[in-house]
Amino acid sequence: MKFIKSHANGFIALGLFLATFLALFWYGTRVGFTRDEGYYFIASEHYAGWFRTLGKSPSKALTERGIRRHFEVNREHPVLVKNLMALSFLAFNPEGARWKQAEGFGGLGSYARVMRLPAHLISALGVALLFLLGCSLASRRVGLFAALGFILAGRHFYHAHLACFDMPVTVAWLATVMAYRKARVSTAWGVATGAVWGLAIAVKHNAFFLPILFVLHWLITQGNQFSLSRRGIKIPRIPLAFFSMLILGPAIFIGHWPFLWNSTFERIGWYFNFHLQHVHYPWEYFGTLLTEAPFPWLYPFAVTALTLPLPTLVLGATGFFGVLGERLGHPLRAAWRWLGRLGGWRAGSQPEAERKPWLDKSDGWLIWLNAFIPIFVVAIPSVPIFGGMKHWLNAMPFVCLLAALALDRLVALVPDLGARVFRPVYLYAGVAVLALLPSLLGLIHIGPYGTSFYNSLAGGVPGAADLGMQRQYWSNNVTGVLPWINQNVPPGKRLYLHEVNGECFRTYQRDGYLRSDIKMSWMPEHSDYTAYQYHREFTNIEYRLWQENNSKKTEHGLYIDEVPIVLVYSKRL
Amino acid sequence: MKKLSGRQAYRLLPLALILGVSVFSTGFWIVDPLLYPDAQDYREAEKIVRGQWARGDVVVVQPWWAARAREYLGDLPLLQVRGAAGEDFSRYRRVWVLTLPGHRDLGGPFDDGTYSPELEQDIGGLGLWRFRLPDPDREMVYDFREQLHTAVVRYYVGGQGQPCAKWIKDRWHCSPRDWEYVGRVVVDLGDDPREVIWAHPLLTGPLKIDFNQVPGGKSLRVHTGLTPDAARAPENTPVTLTVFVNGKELGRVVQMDETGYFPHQWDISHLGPGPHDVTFRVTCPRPHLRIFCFDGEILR
Repeated sequence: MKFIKSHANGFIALGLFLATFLALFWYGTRVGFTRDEGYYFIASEHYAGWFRTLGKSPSKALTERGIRRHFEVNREHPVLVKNLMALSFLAFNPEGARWKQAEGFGGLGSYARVMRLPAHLISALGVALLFLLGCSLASRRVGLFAALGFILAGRHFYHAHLACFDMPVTVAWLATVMAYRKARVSTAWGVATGAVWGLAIAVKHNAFFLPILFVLHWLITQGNQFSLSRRGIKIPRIPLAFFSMLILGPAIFIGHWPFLWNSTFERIGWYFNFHLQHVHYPWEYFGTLLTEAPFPWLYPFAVTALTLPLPTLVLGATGFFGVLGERLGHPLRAAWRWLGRLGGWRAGSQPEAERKPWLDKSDGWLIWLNAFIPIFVVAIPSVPIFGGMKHWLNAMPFVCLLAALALDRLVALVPDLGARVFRPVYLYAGVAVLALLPSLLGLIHIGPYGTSFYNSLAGGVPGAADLGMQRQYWSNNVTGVLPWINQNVPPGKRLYLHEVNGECFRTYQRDGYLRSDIKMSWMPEHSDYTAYQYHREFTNIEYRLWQENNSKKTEHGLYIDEVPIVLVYSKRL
Repeated sequence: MKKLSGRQAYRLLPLALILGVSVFSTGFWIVDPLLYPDAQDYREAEKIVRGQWARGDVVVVQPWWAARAREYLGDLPLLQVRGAAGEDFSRYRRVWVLTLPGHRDLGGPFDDGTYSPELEQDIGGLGLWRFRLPDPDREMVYDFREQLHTAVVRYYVGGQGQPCAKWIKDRWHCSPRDWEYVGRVVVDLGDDPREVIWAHPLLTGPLKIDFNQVPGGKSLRVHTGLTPDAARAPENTPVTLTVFVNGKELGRVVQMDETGYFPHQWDISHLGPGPHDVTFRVTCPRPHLRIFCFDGEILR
């Protein structure tokens, strides 16, 4: 019992990990395959082939030809997550035979479960880590609110399912920040920071922004120790973590990716160039189809405001400006007090809760910068904006931490009313449950169609449709009409699943989501049935169907609160 | 419980705000989904509409994205437009309006009495209206888009007319270039889908579309527009549509570099009952990415 009490946070973290993993694992088969997952599935099977060759004939696997044969596919992303997917695939299918439904976990979506297993584990780890960071920064209740606030947000829960890199890089980013924070007082963590960052950049390129953030943090928190005198320039102590990141980061990045073992600089150059020259996909934003840069700088802020559950958003904004105000110091506080006097709500000395700092200087800036920088990067008008909030998902754990801190702060402001129910711990628990309830309800309501989630501020999916916001992306919502298609399409007919790539179409068939006798079609004109996904930039697909059928009649559809998401057309008309 | 002072009460406000936001959001997710119609509501609305359907009717859905109605009524003339109040209903006599909760404020002529309400009914989560439009005797007697297959289409090279003689799948093809055709299409003009005639002007000279045996009427009405893609392109070159009846110019439209669905109308009552020969001529000095579309009708 004593052991449990002294390691309570560890046990709670373990509980959060298991609960998140089981939720993802149980619910995972309902979430359709994203376009990118289709490519990553194929790539991972290729990489699995390399691991198999490595086991049987290492010398063959390690040749340039052996590496290229397996790793040239999907070279635009590092391979850490895909390697884990490959190992998961191998674990359940050691011979590498064509996947059968009976393999792996068996049943519908067994292949998807196997391929998504690493992502589920990493996402669950992220929730546990966020809880531990909250505990370390403030208290258990702060950690718990932050962790639950993060995973219960509709879009976050959706991304946690996918065999993609957005949630894994968010977790790796969080882990690197935690290591860097510990490195202030520990040499071992100073070294470990480099290793963890190496793993982060092995997940996705977002993590390349972390050193900039750490240098900013160092300059802000240690900047007052710079001095210039006759004795020379005095520079504050450079954190060990910077050196370890410089050495271990590139070593792990190159080491984990066999494709970089030959022609290293040329291939790294190609990789960076791919992302620096990335195409812009059209994106609907307040009724305008954004097609090319410059994009509105407000975009990531507005999308965050409309997609994060409202109570979490309000609390996050309170924490964001609260911590910023505190860190910017006296001028803002003086102005605030002056406004308070003007409003008549506070004239004398500050209450105890307001005098207590939100966070110390270093933690304050660290959390604030992590909540701000990823969003700020996407606010730069030349940065691609497709993909919605997934491109700044790595800011969200920190926004949720700020939300949890803000709630703590607001509860502390409540005067002592004498009654037991108003004790801070009970008050915090009660308000936290109420504040998280909309997240849970929103999550249940949106189901597996996470890219369509909009909060109550937007008015949900219908409100977002009225506002002219991007209704969906990545094509996975097609699962909403597959049961109807399986039931109603006659044998051997041609089916065009708009926006679904060939890789995903085949995976739907081999994983039991779509009847195997149905033939894939690439154009609505060449198909007997079409499942059209509403995208503003693709309306011409639907119009071609109207023209072809000489009618606007649909057979079936996936609607969320009456908003059409996927519409099924047939040529039987 | 202790009594609060005024200053202490103020300190409860921020938390009260969070509680308020939480209660609002919880209520939103519980109540909002209950308001929407179910399949039975649509079936009932379909029964009423089909039972009372008449020539010259059209269905409009509000909000514009409410496409489920097309599962039930999509084979009938049905418009999904963002601003029903500003829509040109000149070819119709009656409008059926199907609304979702929160979108019952139709505005404009629907509310100010210009369109007379004949029916108003709530069917579960659906609202169903029928409006009679002004001038109920008006009738569309000829639709140029519908009759496009009977037209003679020519493009001009050095003053010489060349026929666009191949009619394949709703289109008269004028050249191997896949945008140089005259055909029936559905495209966005402005923000809404429009069933129009694609008539991308040609570099070599005018494009002419001749319709014979066109009945006379009160007016000839056209809509013109460039697609959003064309309007976004930095061309800034207007397209001119000239309308001839029996060889004489009736009028012309200069379509400036903007997307939309712009109406134009000419009185043809003085030309008699016909039949007439009507020609549309499309010209543009620099026809690069000029995705020009139009439709036309004779109204009696």
